[in-house]
Amino acid sequence: MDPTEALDRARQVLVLAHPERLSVLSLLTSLPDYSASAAGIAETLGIAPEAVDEALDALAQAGLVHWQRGDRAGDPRVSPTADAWIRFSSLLDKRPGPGPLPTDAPGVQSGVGSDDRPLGPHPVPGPTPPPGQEVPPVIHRIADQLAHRFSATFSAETVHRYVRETYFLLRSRSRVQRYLASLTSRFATERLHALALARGIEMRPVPQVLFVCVANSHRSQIAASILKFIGGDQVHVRSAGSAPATDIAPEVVEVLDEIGCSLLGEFPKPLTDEIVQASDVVITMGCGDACPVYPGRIYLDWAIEVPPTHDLQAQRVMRDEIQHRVEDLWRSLSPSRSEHHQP
Amino acid sequence: MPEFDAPAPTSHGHLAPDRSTAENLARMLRALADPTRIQLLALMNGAGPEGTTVKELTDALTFRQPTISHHLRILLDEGIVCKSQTGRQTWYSIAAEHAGSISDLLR
Repeated sequence: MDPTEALDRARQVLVLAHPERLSVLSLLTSLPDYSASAAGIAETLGIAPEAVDEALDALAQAGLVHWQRGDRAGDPRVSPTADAWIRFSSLLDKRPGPGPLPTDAPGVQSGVGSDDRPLGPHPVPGPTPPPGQEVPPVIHRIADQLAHRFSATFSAETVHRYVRETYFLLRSRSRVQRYLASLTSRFATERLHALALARGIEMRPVPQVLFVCVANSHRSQIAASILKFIGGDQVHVRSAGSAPATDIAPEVVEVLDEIGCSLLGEFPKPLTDEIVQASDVVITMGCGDACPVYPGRIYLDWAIEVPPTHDLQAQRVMRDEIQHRVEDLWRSLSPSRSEHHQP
Repeated sequence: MPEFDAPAPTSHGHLAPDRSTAENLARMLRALADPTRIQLLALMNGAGPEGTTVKELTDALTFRQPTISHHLRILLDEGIVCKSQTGRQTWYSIAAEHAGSISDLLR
């Protein structure tokens, strides 16, 4: 651990080294929904509201609790952060005196059949979860969603590893008995954001370009494939369709292969709000107004007709037109690159 | 009125640590709340089962041996770290009862 990280950790520990703050955090991790209002905490613990406010301010500053935006009327509620759960919840289970905690407490409801790992008071440490263990389908879906959301920053493998690890970390905490899936989702998101910050990764280091057509089996696939090819890792390219087809048109694979572009692993994908929001440039190709418009993004509409399937020569003409437009787009997105090529 | 009207059904049936438990835990956390001691614990946490020697710790950090020994003393007094002797060599390691929670803390 480097000195800066050690200093940060020491500060966090120091903030928690107060009986009242410990009691507040411990209470929050014991409640059925892991959250409470400041008034509720004061009443349950029997300590003064001012002391609770002081404790919550200090804990929030140290990143150990966060306020939830209340979606209904009532006092705002506070709950533990991922840091609090992962770093401190096993400490909160500590009791002084000889002997460890009894281990005959009801096990964590994991949602995954039998599990013969010991669930003692000291969760089994280790940077990675046991490799053979599978996560339940819901956790897998969460990982897929987050992989999509963080696709500009982390590989899908990294995101899946973080979600798995977060899931197993939380599951091994004897206090985490409910909402394991939603807690995993929330905390994996927090940890991925933190990881991006810690590594100094900007969330959008390269332009994010989205090509949209109706089926995402033809025009948008060609454009995306060509831009990936010429932009390399200097651009992040996605494509989607307002009414995605089941497969990519076979003639598309053929005409792209002719210019050395691969469609390996591509498939028609639905247009979602979140991929539009994640994009800097959105190019629509005949999908009408199906594409939602958000401020701050560049929208371009390319009028390109799809030729008959059997006419391979017309397909090539269309491919070349898309290629020229993509090259123009790429020059406008990376001025330094085009200057470099000028005599 | 509190938002929750019944004690939470936790696995060990308590809501929050009682006063003396919280005070003991706070004292232990104060012993941990130092960047050098955090680094020492990280080194011990990453070491093999036999632990580490003062020389290894001194080599890994940029402190002189008396500084390392001072911080080790605080961790030993609090029962967070224990030492063992083989021949002329003294080994330091995280006490077994704290190993899990210290490892979590260092994540």
